[in-house]
Amino acid sequence: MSAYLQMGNDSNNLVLGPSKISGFSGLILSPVNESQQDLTVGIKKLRENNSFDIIFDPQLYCPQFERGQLGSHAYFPEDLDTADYSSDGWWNKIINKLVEEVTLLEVDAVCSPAPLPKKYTADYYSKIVEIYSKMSGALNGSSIRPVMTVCAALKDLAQVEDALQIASIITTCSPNSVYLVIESEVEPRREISDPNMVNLMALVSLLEKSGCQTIVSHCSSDMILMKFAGASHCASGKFFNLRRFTRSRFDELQDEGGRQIAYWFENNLMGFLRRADLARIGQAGHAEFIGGENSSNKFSEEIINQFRSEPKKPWLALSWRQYLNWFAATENQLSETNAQTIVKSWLKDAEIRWKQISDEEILLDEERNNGSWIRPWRQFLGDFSKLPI
Amino acid sequence: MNAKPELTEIAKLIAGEMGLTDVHFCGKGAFKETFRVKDKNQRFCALKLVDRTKIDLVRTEREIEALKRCDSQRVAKFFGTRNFTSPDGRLFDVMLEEFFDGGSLEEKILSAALSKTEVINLAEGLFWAVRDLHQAKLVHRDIKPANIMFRNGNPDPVLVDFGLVRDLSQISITASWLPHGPGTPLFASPEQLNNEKAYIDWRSDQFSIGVMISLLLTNRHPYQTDPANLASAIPATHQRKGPSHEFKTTMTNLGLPSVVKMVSAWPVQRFSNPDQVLLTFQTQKK
Repeated sequence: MSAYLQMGNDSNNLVLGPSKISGFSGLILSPVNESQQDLTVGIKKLRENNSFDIIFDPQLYCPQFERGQLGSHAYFPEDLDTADYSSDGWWNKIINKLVEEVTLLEVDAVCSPAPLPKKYTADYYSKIVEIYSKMSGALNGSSIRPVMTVCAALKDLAQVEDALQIASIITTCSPNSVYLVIESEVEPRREISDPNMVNLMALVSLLEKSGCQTIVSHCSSDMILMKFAGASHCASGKFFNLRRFTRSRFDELQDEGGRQIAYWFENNLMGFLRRADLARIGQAGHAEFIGGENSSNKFSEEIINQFRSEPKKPWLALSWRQYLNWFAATENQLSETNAQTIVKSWLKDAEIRWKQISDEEILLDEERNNGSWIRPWRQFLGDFSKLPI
Repeated sequence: MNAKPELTEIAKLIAGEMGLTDVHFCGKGAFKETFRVKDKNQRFCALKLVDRTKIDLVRTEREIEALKRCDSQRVAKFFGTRNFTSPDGRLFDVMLEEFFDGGSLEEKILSAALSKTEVINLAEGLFWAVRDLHQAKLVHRDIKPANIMFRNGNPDPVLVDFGLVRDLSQISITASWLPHGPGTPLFASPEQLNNEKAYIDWRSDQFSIGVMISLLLTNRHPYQTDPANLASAIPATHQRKGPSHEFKTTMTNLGLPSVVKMVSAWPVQRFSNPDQVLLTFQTQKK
């Protein structure tokens, strides 16, 4: 198993209790949503009868904003507004306190702190290397693994050389593991079809080839592209429905909730479907389009049963679980088999189905939910294979 | 190194003060003049004179610190240092190091070309040296035949001249605004030629060794675009054109595809740690 679940607000119930999702090998904890004390209690529960690889992400991406529970954590700096972020001493203090906290929490691994820069420059990545190296040194002798956080902006990956540059710098410290956080401006619930994705795939591939296991964070269905590129691990969470890793997400945290929409994830279309769309596709004589591969799971069954027995009952929580179960099972499947062949075939078939949907004028609820990302994704696979890396 | 000594008299004065005898000129580089001397135990040593007007003290201090720190059989032994002001008021930094009676690789290849086996053995020895440097967080940045020496009767190469050493545990002393970083252009990696300090690590030395293997085996630089002009490789390296098709074919035919990886344009495309390279060489020798 290789998939990671990014924990968010009230996420423990996703992996504990009767409605737990299966297939995730690890969890990425969020100090934004839980205080140090709550995490201590939460980790103990998560450890009971489970063997999750628990990673702590200190989430110092945009610390200048109000950041939920971050202030309750000992490593969170009190002098944020006046601090010089380039100061070694300042980072040393944060790292020492972070190491103290994760030691108390008894997590398995910790991501290095990584503030988002104004611009992603060579100097920035050198600083990231330095911070990681300091943290790695501070963990010397501990069983807690250091993971290097690497942030990059999708818009800055316009050329394959951009990926080569970033990978060349961050591998100067030979990290065994990288937590890759990609900043994008994609709208909530939309697939990323930016042509720079192929260079992101190159970045993943370069890191993996240099012996650095990569966890790609904040994935949605594009996880299949990252697996195609050779990513060891991909991570997702229920956030996918609300936001991806955009700068604006830090402004939204205060009014979280209430804006998510229930979707069914359909492998056969490599897309998210609303309830009415499921019905439309079925009524148009294409019931076989629904429930392909890992989209058919215990939560998909629950959803269908609930539609029949309690049609008015909200199904958002089931929706998260149906998607996340698909995510974990598919991520694992692509780790264990020939990801490239499978992904190519899935996308080829999905494109044919979307064409049928279009030809037969089966109009889905959302105008832009039309499979338009499938062709670029297929192109990425071809372009990626031709890259000189 | 060229042959005309300028500092013999000064070397004799320094030797006298240090109790050294038998001063004999060995060679001269851009910043240093080297003399063979005998110490009190009748052991030959290399006396190196660094003219302070030609190179900053801080770089010499880095070199001395690196030599002291790197306790390796494959790196020149360092015996001591001092300052000396000549009668005409010139200031010198003086270094006393191991003397190599087996000569340099540069001298060796003048007399006879090396066989493929000898080149592989040499490269393997250099990677053991680079491995020791890597563990000490040091990058030599000037690996070339003139800086590779031999002890008499011993084929294992030894790295000398750490004047351009990069200590990764210290702040870089190369100014960021310089168009080129330090290094001998023909052997320098693209990141050195472009003064991309963030990319410098042991993989830059890996590139230089790859270039040297190519030159020793084929008399061609991997990036050479004009067969008649070795220097055509320098702009091609600077621009990261990548190794030539001809070079790739030659190395593959020689059963050395790993050398192509060693001279990749970007550090991340090269071997990611010295042990990997050593393993590859050991496999190739079987």
